[in-house]
Amino acid sequence: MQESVAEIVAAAQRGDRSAQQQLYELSHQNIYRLMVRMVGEQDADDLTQQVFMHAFSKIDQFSGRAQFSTWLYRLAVNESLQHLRRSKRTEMSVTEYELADPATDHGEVVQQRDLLRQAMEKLEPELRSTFLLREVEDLSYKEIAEALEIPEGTVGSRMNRARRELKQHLLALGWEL
Amino acid sequence: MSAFFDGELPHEVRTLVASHVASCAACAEELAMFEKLADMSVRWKEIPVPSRSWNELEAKLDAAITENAIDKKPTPASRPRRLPRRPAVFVALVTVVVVGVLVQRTWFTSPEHGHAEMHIAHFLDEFGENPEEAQQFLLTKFQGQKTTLREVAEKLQYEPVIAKGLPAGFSFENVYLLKMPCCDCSQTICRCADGRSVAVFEHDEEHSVSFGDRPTEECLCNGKPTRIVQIDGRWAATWKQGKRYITIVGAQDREEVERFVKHLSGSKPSG
Repeated sequence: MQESVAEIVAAAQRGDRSAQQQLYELSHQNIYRLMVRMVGEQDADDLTQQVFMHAFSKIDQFSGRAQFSTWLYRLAVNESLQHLRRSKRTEMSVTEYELADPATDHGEVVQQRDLLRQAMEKLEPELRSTFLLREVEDLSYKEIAEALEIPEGTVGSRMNRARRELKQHLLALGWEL
Repeated sequence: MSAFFDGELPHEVRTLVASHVASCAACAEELAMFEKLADMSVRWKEIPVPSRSWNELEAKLDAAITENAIDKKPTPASRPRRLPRRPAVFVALVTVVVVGVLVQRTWFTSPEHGHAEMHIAHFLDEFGENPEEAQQFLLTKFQGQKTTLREVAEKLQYEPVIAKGLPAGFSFENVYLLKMPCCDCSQTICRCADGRSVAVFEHDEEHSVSFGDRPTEECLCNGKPTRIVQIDGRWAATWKQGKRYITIVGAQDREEVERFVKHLSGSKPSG
């Protein structure tokens, strides 16, 4: 019978390495994806590993009140924010890549993606994390609030600010609405 | 508007907003912009992930457990941990001292030492952002009990030096007894007139407190060899007082550290 995530987490908390591996396989792609957008590709891989190092060394502290993925996102966001503070950066210095699929991608799409990336780099990290958790990771406001340890109302106001600031940055970069 | 766009509004409110948007060009334009941003973000869901194996992470986890079981001398080359800034009120409640309390020679190599160091490291990581949670974590991990100085004295068979009084401008707030793997220690929370708190720990130990891998400084405070470290704009310090070590956490500057050292050094330890 397939184990539930809760059962796997419980096993991981007991020190079961195979359970920890299952959790890693289930979630490391999402965490890496978030890290790339928060700190850039150059540091994303190492920081993703660091997130899981923290997670499994602190997994006994996971109370189970929220979803494990939400808790993991919290660790990831905190790790990325601390990394940005340590490097005294709020903007990503990204050797960014964007996959272009010649079969399906058109020049306009690639250009828009690049514009969004540049605009995102200018967004303050707290707004960036909120936007990414909503638009890329598809978290609800409740889940974002749990992950970022902020009130749900703050999630909404941050989303407003993030979207409006992104618009301003995009317009400044030559984006046409 | 974002809550409406993201479907986070209650049904009744959503209906009202939808009705408004239908007749408001500015709001409709904003929603259209939100939609475009969402379309642009969709592509970010597809991203190649490096195939870094679990085995590599597992090896690091195993190495970390082994490393934590051995006493590490803090080195200047270690990466300084800069914690986010916090309002002054809560900064002090930190575990650092607890680590020092537990430092018995046999404990250095025991698994319990490794776990305590990890818990303390977690506490140090967390207190800057979430000091109340960090303190609660400390109390949970080390079976902390709120108590009185008198009960502490009865339990530990010595009266904490802080029982003789605090530096001017500070008052007692709470006292806790923490059960560390190797011994029990006292934690006193002192409140300053400006609302800040400083935690004072006393540990009946042979060895000094470890601040983990944070860069520390050895200096003389009031003529007493003291080890100090800065954590997110606040200061922690530890010094030997008679047979025991005193550690304070949350001092606002070095002058305040000196005040505590001077004041508590002037009080003779009992037992």
